[in-house]
Amino acid sequence: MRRFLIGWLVAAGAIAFGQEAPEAPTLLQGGGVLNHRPTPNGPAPRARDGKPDLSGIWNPDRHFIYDISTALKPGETLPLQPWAAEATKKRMSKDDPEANCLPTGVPRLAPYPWKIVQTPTLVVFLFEGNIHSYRQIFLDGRAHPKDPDPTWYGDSIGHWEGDTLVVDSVGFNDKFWFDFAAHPHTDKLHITERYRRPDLGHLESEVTIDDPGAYTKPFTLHGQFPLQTDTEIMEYVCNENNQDVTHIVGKDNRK
Amino acid sequence: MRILIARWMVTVAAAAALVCGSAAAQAPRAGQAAAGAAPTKPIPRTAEGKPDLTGTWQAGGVSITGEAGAPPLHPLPPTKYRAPRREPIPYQEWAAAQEKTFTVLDDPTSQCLLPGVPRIVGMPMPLEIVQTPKEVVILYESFRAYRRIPINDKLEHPDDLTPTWMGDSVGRWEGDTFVVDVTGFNDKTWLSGLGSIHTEKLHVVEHYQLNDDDTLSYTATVEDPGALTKPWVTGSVLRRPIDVRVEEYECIENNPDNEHIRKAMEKEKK
Repeated sequence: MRRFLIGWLVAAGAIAFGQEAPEAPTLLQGGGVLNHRPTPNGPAPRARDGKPDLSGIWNPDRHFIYDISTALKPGETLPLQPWAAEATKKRMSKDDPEANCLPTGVPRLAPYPWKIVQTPTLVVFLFEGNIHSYRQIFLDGRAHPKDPDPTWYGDSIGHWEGDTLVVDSVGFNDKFWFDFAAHPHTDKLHITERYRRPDLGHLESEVTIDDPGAYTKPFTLHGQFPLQTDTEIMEYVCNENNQDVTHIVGKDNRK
Repeated sequence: MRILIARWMVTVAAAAALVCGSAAAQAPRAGQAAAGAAPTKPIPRTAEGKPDLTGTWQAGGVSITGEAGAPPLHPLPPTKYRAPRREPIPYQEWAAAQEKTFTVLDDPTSQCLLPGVPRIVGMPMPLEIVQTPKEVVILYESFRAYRRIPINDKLEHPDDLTPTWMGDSVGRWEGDTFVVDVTGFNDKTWLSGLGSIHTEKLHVVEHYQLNDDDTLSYTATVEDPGALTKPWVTGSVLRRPIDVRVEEYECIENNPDNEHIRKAMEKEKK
């Protein structure tokens, strides 16, 4: 909310002084929801161990905010089981755990920048939004725990396949929603994410969701996250003065 | 289950603070070894030659103000090093008077709000330091918080900081000590025990020093010309818990503690 407000104020100020208004925040088609400087060009940087360095501040892809069905390939639909399709329709936004300051889980994003910090044995995702939390992806060769505690972000282990970081996650609880549209899942959820940085300014993901409890077959989502160069992630304390949740009515159906 | 135990421990710690007040531990300063020390080993270093603070750490034994009742969540190896001598917080009159008016229910952390710095370091849950050449990131299990500490040799903060719960941190190496300067706080956190308020003038300087017995000495010098009469020093010796990683902690999920505390307090009044 704050970033949009600031953008409006800056635009208003610029118009008052006869200058061209800076670009208002737009909901970009191919990923990225935030006002930012032009994406820089150049080759993807490499980490000291020779792997592509995914470190950086990334725009959230709108398809992982509002409705994950828009992240499928064109023509595909979400293979929802009947109970899951019903649940999606019935859920109201006021009950969205995210509106109540609980985590978004995986792969959902909040409309705020997020940051990757990469070391050879650990990759960390720091979220400005998403209740200002983090994910850990262990690259040290460990296996999943035999009986993981069900958690909001699951247990994530990763490895490199060439220039692609492959992340395998299990051990999710069934409480988060995949998006504003309220697509559900169960604790059978198993997610495989593949991240590539084809050049300096772009991060791409392919997220395969396999949940035999809610979907009739696995499906793959595609994400694009332009680099954000003109800012750093800020603090965000969702449960401080949270006015929104008592005002929410109905369902957010934006795509 | 573990999350419930952790929250219960935090409640016990706060309750103990109510009863016991803060105890000043008589101990050598951080970095001094007790007699009959174990053999030393070289500290791990990064490719840049700096001490490598990376890993999972746990403060433990005593809380950050020497209060009993904040045991660590996991068993810890022993260490020959001791935390700095703990003194009561040197409050100005107005702040000392206000400190007495608070109950555990006023603690921002019982509303699942952030503990700030240095309080978060002494929480009975582990933290994880992720060290890169350009910045150090600290992941806290406590309240699922994280801090970013960009490395800047001049310890420069951005202009015009928005007041935040965890402050704005910037760090640099001074020899083998990682020094972190934190300003830009709001006035909403507590420094440590019950009612330990501060103002937005709060300024914390942290020192992280890797010891030769694979422990991490942590010292925080806390200044607040708005609330304190002089700087206050606190700290602990962080150790590596065995077979532990920082885990999830969603404070606001199923948080029944406040109701229980309220009922217990009402019973006590009768």
